[in-house]
Amino acid sequence: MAREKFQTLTEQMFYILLCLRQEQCGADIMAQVTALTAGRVSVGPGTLYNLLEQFLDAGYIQETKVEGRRRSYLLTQAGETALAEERRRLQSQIDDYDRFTAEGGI
Amino acid sequence: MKHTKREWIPLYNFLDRTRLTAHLSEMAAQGWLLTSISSWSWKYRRTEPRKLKFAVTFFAGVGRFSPAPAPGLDTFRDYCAQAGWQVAASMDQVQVFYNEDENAVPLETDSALELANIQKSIGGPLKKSYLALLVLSLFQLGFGLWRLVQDPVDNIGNSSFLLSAGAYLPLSVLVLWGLLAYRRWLRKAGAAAETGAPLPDLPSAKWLSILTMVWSALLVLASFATVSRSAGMVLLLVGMLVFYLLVGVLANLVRKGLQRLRCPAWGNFLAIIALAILLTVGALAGLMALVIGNTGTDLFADHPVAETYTYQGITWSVYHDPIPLRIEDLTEVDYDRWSTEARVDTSFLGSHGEYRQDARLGEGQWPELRYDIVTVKVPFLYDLCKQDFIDWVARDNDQIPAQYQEEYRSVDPSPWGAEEVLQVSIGDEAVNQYLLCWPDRLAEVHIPWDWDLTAEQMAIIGEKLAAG
Repeated sequence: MAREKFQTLTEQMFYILLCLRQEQCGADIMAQVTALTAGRVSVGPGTLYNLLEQFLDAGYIQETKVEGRRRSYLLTQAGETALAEERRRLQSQIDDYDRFTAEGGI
Repeated sequence: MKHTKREWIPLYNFLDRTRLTAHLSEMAAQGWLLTSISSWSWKYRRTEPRKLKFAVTFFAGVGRFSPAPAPGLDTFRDYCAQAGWQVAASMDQVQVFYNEDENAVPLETDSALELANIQKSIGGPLKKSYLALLVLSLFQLGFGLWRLVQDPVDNIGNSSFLLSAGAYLPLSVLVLWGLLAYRRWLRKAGAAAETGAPLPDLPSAKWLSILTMVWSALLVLASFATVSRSAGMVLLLVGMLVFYLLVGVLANLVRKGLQRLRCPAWGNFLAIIALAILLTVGALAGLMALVIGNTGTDLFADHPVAETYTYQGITWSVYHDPIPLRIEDLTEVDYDRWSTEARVDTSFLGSHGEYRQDARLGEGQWPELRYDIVTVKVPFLYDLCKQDFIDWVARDNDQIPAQYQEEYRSVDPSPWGAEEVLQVSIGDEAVNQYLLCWPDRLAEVHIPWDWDLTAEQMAIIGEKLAAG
């Protein structure tokens, strides 16, 4: 079920998972996504909280540290796979675009 | 100078977020910052007038009865604080935030996820509670209608009964509107989420809510009006309102206390049910004690007793109510110490009057009268009332031999001046009980059993009961 749910990652999902390749406190993810995308992508706190909960349920991330209210997370192998698959999907889109335009497609 | 301010019964739907947050921003600009919300009021505290941006979101981990603070809520609020969103107030799943930065990142940046969260946090519980309320309202309405159809004579003028049944009508409409509006909103929100557009608002049913409240207030006033002749009944009604208020306040205190003690939701819910049952049993016991303690007094009488007398050690009431037909209209009697009692119930559907004229006990054998008059304002109830009278005399016929069975049979209506007249027969013997029918009126009259009615008496009875 969870796999089906995240078959295609949204930009926000993609960047949250990408940030969590390094252990990260949840609250810091928002700033990092903004920095990583030069402000192009923003993750709202409500969206972040719900996505982290869903990623935990799906086994894409794991909780690594709880310091009071601060919780840290890290990408799991399943999360890494999902991220890599999304990268491949995006890459194949780019490849298709390049091939099509190189062949003179409109 | 006041430092706090309350808005009573704010009629904003929490999904009507554009209007709601605009209102809160306007209040903040006037120097009033929201500090708490409840079903009944929103509380503000005085601050420097500030330009603030408000947002409403929903936290799925919180429930009406779940332990507080809910797991994860602090973390969620920390994330919000990181983005500059400060908690203004919250109530169960509803979380109201404000931000000083006009261009702050919104709380929710994924419409599809936001919609799923709304459905999970408030949509599901809202649908369940609305459906339960709708079933309850429809049951009460149906039960009221069933009682009216089953026993129209006794209920046609019973304002209290009709008021309580009628109370559920606007509630049913409000709940049904709420359910349909939410369904329509879900469709629109689903379409918006698919395109990544912001979720639409679910407009507040402000006027429908006001109408329901006005209707409820009118019902309470009408209830007081219907029992205003009896001090005891007014007292009971006030007691009932105080009781509901007390149950509500106590249940809320216990619920919040158990939430803080981290009692599981099911335990909290059961505790509230137990409390409600306990208080109801206590109130009923108190009510019974009050009624028993006032037996024989006028406290609960719906109309005043003119005088009392004692016969064989028992106190009897005497009434001097005006009644449309008296024994003296039909025959000469050398007696004037009658008790004449009229109990008339009137509603918008019609009226039902029960009248009787009795001699005092121990003062000899005098003819006595009993009759009912039903006036029907709503045509469809006429046949039902007539049939009710007819069925009532035959109610025990299946348990007694044929020669003792009672039924109404048609007789010549012309001497009575009525459209139709039925007379009760026991077996084949006609007795002095008649049902007189006019186009909008029915009268059942019990004449002294040993009278042979003359045409003149029939005409007087018909004339008096048709006009009375």
